[in-house]
Amino acid sequence: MARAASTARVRSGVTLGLTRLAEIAVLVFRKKTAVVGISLILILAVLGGLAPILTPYSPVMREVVAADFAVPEWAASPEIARNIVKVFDTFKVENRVIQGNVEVNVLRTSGGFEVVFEGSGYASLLIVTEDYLEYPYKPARSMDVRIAFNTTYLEGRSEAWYNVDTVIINKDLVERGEKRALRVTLPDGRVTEFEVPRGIYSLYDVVTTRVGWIYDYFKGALRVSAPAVLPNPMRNMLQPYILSIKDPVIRDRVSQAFGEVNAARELLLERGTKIYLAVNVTYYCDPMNFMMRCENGGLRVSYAPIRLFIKGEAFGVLGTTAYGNDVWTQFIYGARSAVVLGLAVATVTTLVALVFGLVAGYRAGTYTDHSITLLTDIIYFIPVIPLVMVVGLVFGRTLWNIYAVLIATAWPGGARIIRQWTMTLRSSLYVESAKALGASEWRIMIKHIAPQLVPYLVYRIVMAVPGVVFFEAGIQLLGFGDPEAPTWGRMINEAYYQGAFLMNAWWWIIPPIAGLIMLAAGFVLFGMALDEIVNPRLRR
Amino acid sequence: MGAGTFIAKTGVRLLGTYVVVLMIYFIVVRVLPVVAAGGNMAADPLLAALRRTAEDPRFSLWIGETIKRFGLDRPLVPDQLLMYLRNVLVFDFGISVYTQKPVLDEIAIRLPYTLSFYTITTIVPIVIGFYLGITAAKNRGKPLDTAIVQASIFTNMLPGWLTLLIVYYVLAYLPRVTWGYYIFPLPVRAPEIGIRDWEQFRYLLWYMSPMLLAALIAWSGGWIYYIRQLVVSEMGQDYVTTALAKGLDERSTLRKHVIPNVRPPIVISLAYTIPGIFGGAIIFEIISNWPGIAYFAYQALLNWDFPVMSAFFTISAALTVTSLFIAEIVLVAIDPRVRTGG
Repeated sequence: MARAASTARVRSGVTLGLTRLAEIAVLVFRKKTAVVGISLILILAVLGGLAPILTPYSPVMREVVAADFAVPEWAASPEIARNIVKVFDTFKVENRVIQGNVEVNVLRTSGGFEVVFEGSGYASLLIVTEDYLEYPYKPARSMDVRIAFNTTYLEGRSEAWYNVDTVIINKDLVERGEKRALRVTLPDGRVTEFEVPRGIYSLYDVVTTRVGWIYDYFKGALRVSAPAVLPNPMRNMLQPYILSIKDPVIRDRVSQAFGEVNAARELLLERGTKIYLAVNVTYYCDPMNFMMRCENGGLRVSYAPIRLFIKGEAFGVLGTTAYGNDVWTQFIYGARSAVVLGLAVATVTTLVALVFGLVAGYRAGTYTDHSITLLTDIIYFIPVIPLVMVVGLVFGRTLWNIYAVLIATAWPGGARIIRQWTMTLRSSLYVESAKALGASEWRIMIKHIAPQLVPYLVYRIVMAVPGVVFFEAGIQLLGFGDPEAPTWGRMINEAYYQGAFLMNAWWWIIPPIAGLIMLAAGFVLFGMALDEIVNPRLRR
Repeated sequence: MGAGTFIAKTGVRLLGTYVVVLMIYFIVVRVLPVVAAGGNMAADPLLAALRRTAEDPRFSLWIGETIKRFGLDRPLVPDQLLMYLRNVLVFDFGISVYTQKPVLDEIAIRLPYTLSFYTITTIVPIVIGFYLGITAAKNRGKPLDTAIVQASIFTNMLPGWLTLLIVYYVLAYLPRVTWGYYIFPLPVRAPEIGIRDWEQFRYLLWYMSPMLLAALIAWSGGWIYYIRQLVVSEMGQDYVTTALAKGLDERSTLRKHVIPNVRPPIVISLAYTIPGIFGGAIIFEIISNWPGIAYFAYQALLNWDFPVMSAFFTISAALTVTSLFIAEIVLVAIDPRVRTGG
């Protein structure tokens, strides 16, 4: 009998809370500000939720998607360079020089080519791409050439010396035969001038796969007149020229002069420039050379398609960062983490406050209550920002540590108010009757008092979300945030310290700030509408 | 309960809490890393920092002295904890591991920068809030009130550092980058410590101005809204109606009846805001490279300079405790109801 009555009470307690919540929901949707707030939150939530669909990139892996500080595509004139990816997969042999007894076989493979050398002697092949890239934009600043090739000695043959040298060529400049004069000022005031052909750049590389950087190449790369003795396996074509300069000072100046030329700028000289690539494969096997000890050598060179990536100066929805990462990706993943983590941390904080507030309020005046009050006092006195910085240094700068400190230090405010409410509710009639029916303390707190507090808790959570997100962002700005967290705080931190302000990269500065303002406005508007409903004293 | 007893009780309670807070800091910074490393004393970050410094032969002698002075060879709990507490309670922070100078001297030369910024950003927002809040309350329901309230809610919603970033972007970087004109200085070349001539002082003021502007925008909103709500709810009380019915004009009603009643809650919330302003000001100083104590503490933190870190923590905690204590005393003075315990 007693049990039946108490379950009935419990149901009524919970349903009371739920009906109250439903009532509030109806009232909230009547308020214009609340609707605006909720829709702001929803926009961010939808953006964040659809993030994997809206962008192919990851916010954590720093993929380079375009040039650094690329402008948003919609804000750039159509002449500004866009991303161009060109895969060169057809090759033809343009020139072959064979001396001695070498048998050369050139095979087409899928997308690339394969050259097989057999015998002793010297062979050099110039293989060029059949098509070229006609560059349609204003000059871009940087490009990325990805080459991959593989060399293997044939079974049972001795090891020959070889070189595989990839060259990128501006067709127009080479056809016009233009030369560039380089002036080198020596420390004693003398000026040396020398001329190098324009538009030919060698991709200095080692044997395995990797990205090629562009170096100047001028030593008649396409013309081999004498059998070259090459160190195995590769060498920088600049090296022999520079090393041939005896004076170390002049040597330094010359290599410096080459370093100052932007090869990408010259290759992408103007609109309509044509770009192609050439691969120079050299093979040398001399039985008379006692150092080489090559008798009847054999070599197979397999070359994969060449991928040329010209990094656009205009990219995507929101351009790129100083590292060439996509801002749009970071922005929408930032919205996701702001909404999800903000709500989660705010909820946990409020639940902690609820537990402490309930216990303190229900046992008001007892030893427990006093110790909780003391605890809240202590936490109130802890300066949070110095603490969070220290915790980051000692235990690692992770989101979890930051949020742990936040939760541990943010609950007392709510607990104090919940304690007051609980004290009032404790003396209400239904609590008294539940007590009389023998319900335990926890049962009364959780099933009878807590449901009454639900509207206040919802209000509390909603109002706490902006604080959570701002806290993380502020810590990020101090440099103590999680460097791998995909949050708006990290975006702001990077934008501020990586020169976005000086470069006036508005597409990088404004989104995280606008996102934070939108989020805060959404939750504050919603929260204020809730407040007016939950606390009727403010109703006008 | 008399006023004296009340103040004494409050003082004892606050002092106890203060000591516990200082202990917590020691435990988090010194004891927990050692516990996390399984009781290995070498994991103590302070010892590690000292070892790094001792690699420089100039300091190896001094390190021995420091280790003795801090008792770093003794067990952390309770010996070092008690020593730390004793030193910190009398503001004896020792010598900075990084700059090799007494911490108090280092703090003293930076204190004017911090204090000037704090006092302005604490007092001026209240003054603005008081005037604008009362103006809004007088015009409640009118467009002026709505505008003030909405603006104050919006600025209060944003943290100070975000306002500072916006101010820097719009008023310092944007004019500089687009037109080559400086309205406000970029937060790059910080003023030197120690003012020697008028030119330096002017640069200091100019350098501080975006920080002040941002702080005033960020921290006035809360006050305006809060004071307006207080005054509006006070003005709905019966005694105001009575005063007005008596024929008193609105102006003197406000001055003689409403404002005295509004004062105690403002004082108490000022006490509660001071630590928040302090926290916000840390970020301000670091963003702006302002040569105050928070920036100094920030650098100390990066070098694991425990004496400076503990000094900064102690000062911030002491500031909170003191402001709360003063607030309670002032409350007793201006609101006799508190004394009676009701």
